[in-house]
Amino acid sequence: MQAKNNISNNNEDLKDLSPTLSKIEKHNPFKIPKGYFDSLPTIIQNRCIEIEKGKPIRGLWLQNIFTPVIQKLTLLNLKIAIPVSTAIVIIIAGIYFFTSLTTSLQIENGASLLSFNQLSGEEIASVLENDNGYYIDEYLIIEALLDKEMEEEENAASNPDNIDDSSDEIIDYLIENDIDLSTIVNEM
Amino acid sequence: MMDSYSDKELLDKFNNKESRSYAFNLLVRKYQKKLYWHIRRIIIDHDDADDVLQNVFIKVWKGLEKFRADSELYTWLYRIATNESLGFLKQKRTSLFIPMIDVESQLSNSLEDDNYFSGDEIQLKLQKAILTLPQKQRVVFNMKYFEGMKYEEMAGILDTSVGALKASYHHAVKKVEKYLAQ
Repeated sequence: MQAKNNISNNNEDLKDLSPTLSKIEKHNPFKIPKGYFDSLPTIIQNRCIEIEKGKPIRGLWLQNIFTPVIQKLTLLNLKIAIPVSTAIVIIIAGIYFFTSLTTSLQIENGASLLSFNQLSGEEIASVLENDNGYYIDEYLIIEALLDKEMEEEENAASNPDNIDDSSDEIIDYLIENDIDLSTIVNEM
Repeated sequence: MMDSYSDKELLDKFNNKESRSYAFNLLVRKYQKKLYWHIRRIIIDHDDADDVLQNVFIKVWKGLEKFRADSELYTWLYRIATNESLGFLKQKRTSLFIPMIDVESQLSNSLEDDNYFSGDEIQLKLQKAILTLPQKQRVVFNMKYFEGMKYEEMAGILDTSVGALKASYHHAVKKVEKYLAQ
């Protein structure tokens, strides 16, 4: 108790307590810009007037927007804020991954592919000739060509004009091979 | 001229709507230097000290009407300035998202490159020694050593007993001495 009471602000006590510190001249090592204290009252007065008018402080609009957000964020314990932000990042990454996976599956299932049936033979040949590094399955090509052939045959069967056009050829064929109506019926 | 008005006279003028702005201007002029240097010794950087000081006076402007004369205006202003300064350092610590960051050691390093620091080698060493103190001890040391404040005045500002302040200053001086003697 006695020791505590001996601590006072006079230099003699400081000499005893801290010989090195007592030798240092008390001097303010900090500087300020020229005219700082002359302009400060006006700056503060202007800010107060603007606050009084209810206007946002000019030049501080970014601070006005972000400061409350930052304050709220810092009020949250960082132990909570960091895991929450990590979870948000993981969720966003998950959604992105799931979306891209679904899209690629759709592409694999042909949902978004241009069907070969929609291409003409010339277009297919052109793609094959100008191989741009795209891999095209051989079986897909054959399948597509067969489909196209069958489609043409079906069209020909359902279109009477096509029958008229090729009827001469059919008759010639039947005559040449000596096939009569009863043979055709038997074959069917 | 502005120092010729007592705190009571300033408060009376402030409470009169017609002379409110004038009274506030006088109050800023009367206390700006004392509060600035008090803040600057805690914050170290001039620009940050300027921001904090402006915020202090804005708080004073908003709260002065409700200020009760049962405590000294001087004590009240210093209390706001101290709390704003320590709050600023706390915010600086948390806004970097590194909870354990040592703001004081950052300030200590920045002193050497600070254009607004003109101290010689021993002054730089003294400031660095002060920055190694725990925050409250640092405030107590500055108020006692540089500002020559009485313990009773400090007790009102820091809401701490005189005995605790004396002990705090004693420890602070010992630590500074040890750092300087290295």
